[in-house]
Amino acid sequence: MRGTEHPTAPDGEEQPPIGRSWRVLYAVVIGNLALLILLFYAFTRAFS
Amino acid sequence: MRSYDWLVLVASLLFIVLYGLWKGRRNRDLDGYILGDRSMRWYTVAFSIMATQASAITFISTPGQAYVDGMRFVQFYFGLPLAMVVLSITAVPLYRRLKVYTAYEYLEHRFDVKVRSLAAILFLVQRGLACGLTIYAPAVVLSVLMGWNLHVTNVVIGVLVIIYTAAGGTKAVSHTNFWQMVIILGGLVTTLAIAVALLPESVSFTEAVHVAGRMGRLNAIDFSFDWNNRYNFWSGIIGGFFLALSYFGTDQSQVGRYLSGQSVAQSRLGLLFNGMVKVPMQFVILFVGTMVFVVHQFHETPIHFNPVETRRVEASSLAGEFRVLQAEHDALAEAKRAEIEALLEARRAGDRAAEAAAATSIDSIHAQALDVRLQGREIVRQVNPGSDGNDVNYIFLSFVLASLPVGVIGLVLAMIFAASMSSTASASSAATNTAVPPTRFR
Repeated sequence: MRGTEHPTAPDGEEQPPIGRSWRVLYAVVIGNLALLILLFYAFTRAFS
Repeated sequence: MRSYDWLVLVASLLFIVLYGLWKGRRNRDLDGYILGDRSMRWYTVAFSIMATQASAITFISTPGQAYVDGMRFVQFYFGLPLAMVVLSITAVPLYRRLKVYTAYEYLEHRFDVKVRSLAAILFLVQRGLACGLTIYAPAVVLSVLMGWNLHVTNVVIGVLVIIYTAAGGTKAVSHTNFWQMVIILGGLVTTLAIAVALLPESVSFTEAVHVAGRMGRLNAIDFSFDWNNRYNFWSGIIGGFFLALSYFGTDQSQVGRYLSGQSVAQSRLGLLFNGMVKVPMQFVILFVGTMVFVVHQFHETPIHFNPVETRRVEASSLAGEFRVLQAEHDALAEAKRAEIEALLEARRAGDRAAEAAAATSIDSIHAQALDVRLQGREIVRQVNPGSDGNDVNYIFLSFVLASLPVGVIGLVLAMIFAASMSSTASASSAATNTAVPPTRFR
């Protein structure tokens, strides 16, 4: 069953369980950080 | 503490120990004991990583930090998501390809057994010392506030951890970490909701946030570059990145968490999930502290939050001076409350000038109250030269014990125990695995 849960990409790297590719997931994590920093900045400015 | 609180606390601890024993009952070999048969799904890996990093001090001290210093500490975690991405690309596939049991085994592949042994010994000494503090620090706070025996509290936490960690190995640790994290998040959200509910009826949530901001407690971001400022964007993104890189990439208590993943993909996703939720989680913990701060603006608070030190002062020749300071502190709190209400009234009326005047007045009174608190701290230090007079670590639990309803106090204490046990269990398990002689792996 594991083989079907974690298919292998043509280049030999495992596909992520969710999302299209690892690059997309890395971008999501970094984008999430950037968004949080922006929100915190707005939060700090709005209530200071 | 009432019987319902004890019930919640004891039931949570028993559940963790029994669940750990049950999950770790089928270890046949070293693979099972050390790597959990590499059977963990990404969400177990993620929660295990988070529970390992979050010690009891995180939940006792961090709200207190926000209470006295605002939310700028959240910036300390900005480098963590970047480190998670780097480790997912580099360390995870490397460790998996070499089929290592510990991070230090990689050093043997790369160099020789002497380098591996040196790194392993350094880890054992460092993590052993840290492990002691992970149990001891919350036990000190709990013993002071609850009146529990310090040694018994230490032994109870330590023995409970040893029971399921020694019997079940990594499987027991990872699976219990998952539920410990559930207890921690449940306790955190409940505490935040109740803190907000404890605000006066006339003060809305938005107004409470506004008061916190006006009083300098919502300073989540500071882009200024200052070598003398411990917590700003730059120290967080640079220092936090390298700190997280070393901690998650080379500390076996964390490496062991993601080595137990079913596959490279599951381990990676666990790390990346941690990178997504760690910063918001810290924000919420700090926000709990700011809400406690706002609630305290509408209620009387002690001049010093450590009851043992306060009792010691009250029994000393400086008791009179301390009482005068407390009375002064109460009077300032009353004046500050009136100004906060004036500020909110001006805000509702859209009177910017009156709002600014009230804010200036609040700042002035708050500075005086802070000065009085510092004088109280100085008296504590004079009476007990062994104390540093710092009561930050007692603020949050004092609030919990004084303000939260029956049952929820037990849940928060269960959260503190869960946090202490989760990081101790991961460290103990990692120390055990690291101490296995290299020849046993061959």
